[in-house]
Amino acid sequence: MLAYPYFKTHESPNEEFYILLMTATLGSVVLACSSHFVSMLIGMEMLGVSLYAMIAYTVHDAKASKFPLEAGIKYLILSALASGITLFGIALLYAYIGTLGFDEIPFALEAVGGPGPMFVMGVLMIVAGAAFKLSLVPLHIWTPDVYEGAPVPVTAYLATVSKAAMLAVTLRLILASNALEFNAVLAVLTVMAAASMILGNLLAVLQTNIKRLFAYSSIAHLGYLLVVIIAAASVSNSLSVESTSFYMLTYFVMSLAGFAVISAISDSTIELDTLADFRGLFWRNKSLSAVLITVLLSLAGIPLTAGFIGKFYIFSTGVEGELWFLLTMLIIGSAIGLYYYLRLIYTMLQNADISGEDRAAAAMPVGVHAVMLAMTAAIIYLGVYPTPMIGTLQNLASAF
Amino acid sequence: MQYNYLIIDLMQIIMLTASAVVVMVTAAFKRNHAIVCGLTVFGLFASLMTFVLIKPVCLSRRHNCC
Repeated sequence: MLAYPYFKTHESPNEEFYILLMTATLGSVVLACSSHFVSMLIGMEMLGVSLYAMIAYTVHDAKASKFPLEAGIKYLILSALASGITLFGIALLYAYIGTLGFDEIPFALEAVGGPGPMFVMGVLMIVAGAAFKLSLVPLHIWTPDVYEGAPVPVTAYLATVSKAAMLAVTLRLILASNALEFNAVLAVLTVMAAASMILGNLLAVLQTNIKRLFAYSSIAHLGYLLVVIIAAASVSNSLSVESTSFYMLTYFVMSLAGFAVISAISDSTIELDTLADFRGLFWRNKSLSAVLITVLLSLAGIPLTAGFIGKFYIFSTGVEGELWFLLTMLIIGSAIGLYYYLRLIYTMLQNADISGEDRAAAAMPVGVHAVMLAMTAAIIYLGVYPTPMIGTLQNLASAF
Repeated sequence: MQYNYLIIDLMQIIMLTASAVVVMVTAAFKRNHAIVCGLTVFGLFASLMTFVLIKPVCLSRRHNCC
C-alpha cells in the first residue's frame, strides 16, 4: 500500500517489485516457521536475495535522488558474508552433534557427552549471522546506509518483516538449543545488547536524516529486545517469548507508521527525509504531524502508547531475570532516546520556511492514509487496552 | 488426520506461494501497476487470514488443550 503511490512516478516497469515483495514475504514466513537449519537457510536466502533487488530497485530511474545501487551492493556483500558465517556455524554444529533439527539439539548433545568448544563456536557463529540481520552492534554498520539508500517502502519492509522473521527464528533456536546455558554465548549476547542500546541511541542523536535516525533507533530497540531473550536464561521461556512478541509487535507497528509518514511526502523522484524537511510540519499538515508525534512518543515509551507497555514488559522481565546491568543500560539508552525523539517533535513545531512546492501540504494517497490511520489506532489501542493482545500472545507463547 | 493438520499448518505458505505465482503470471500477460499491486495486497491479506484457521489446530495438536 505504501509502494503503489511511491512507484507511480517510477520511469521503469514496477510490476517486478511486487513479485520480489511476495517472494521476500514467503522467505520471511519460511524463516519464522523453521525449526530446522536447512529450512532456516532457505528462508534466509529467499528473503535476502529478494531484498538485494528490492533495495536497488530504483537504480534504473534517472530521477532517483538517493543511492540505491550503493545500498544494494553494500547489503549484498555484507549479507552474503553473514550467511557464510551462519552456514559455517551450522556445519560446525552438524559436525559435532550430527543433527540439524533445533529440537533435537539437547538430546544430541547428551548423546555426545555435553557441549565442546566446537559446539559453542558453531552457536556463536550462528548468533553472529543473526546479529548481522538484526543489525546489533558491532554488526550494525550496514543499517544506516542501506536504510538511507533504499526506497522508503523497502526500508519499511526491511525494518519490520525482515527483522521480525529473523528475530523469531533466533529466539526459537536459542530457546530450543539451550544456548543460554553457555557462559560464552551469554556474555556475547550481553555485550551486544548493552552496546546496541547505548551506541544506537548515542549515534541517533547525531543524525539529521530521519531514515538514518530510524536506523540507529532500530539498533537500540533490537538491543532492548535482546534483554528479554537473555532473560530467558533465568525466567520461563513462555514469559520471554510473550515479552519479545509484544515488544516486537509494538515496535513494528510504530516503525511502519513512521515510515508511512516519510512515504506520504516522498516518491521515487524525491525523498524528503531530512530534519529540515520536517521543520514546521505541524503547521503544514496537522494529520501527518499527529501521526508522527504519536509514533515518536510511543518510541520514547510515553504512557498511554504501545511503546510504554512494551518497555514495561521488557523492564519487568529484566527485573525478574535480575539483569541489573542491562536494565541500567536500558534506562540510560531510553533517556538518550527521549532527547532525539522530542527534538524531532520540536522541529515539527517550529516555523516553516518553505520555498516552492510544499509536498507535505499536498493531498496524500488513500493507501498511505489507511496505513497511517490503522497503525496509529493500533499504537493507541495497545497502549490503552493491551489485555486482549496480551491474552493472544500468552496462548501463542505457550505453544512456542 | 495428521495430513489434514499438516496442510492447514502449511496453508499460509501455500497461499503466499500461490499468490506469488498469480502475481508473476499476471505481470507476464498484462503489465499494469494497479492490477499487480491489488493482487499482491489481496494475496498478502488472504495468507494473513489463514492464520485464523491455523491457530486452534496448532494448539490442539501440540497440547491437547482444546
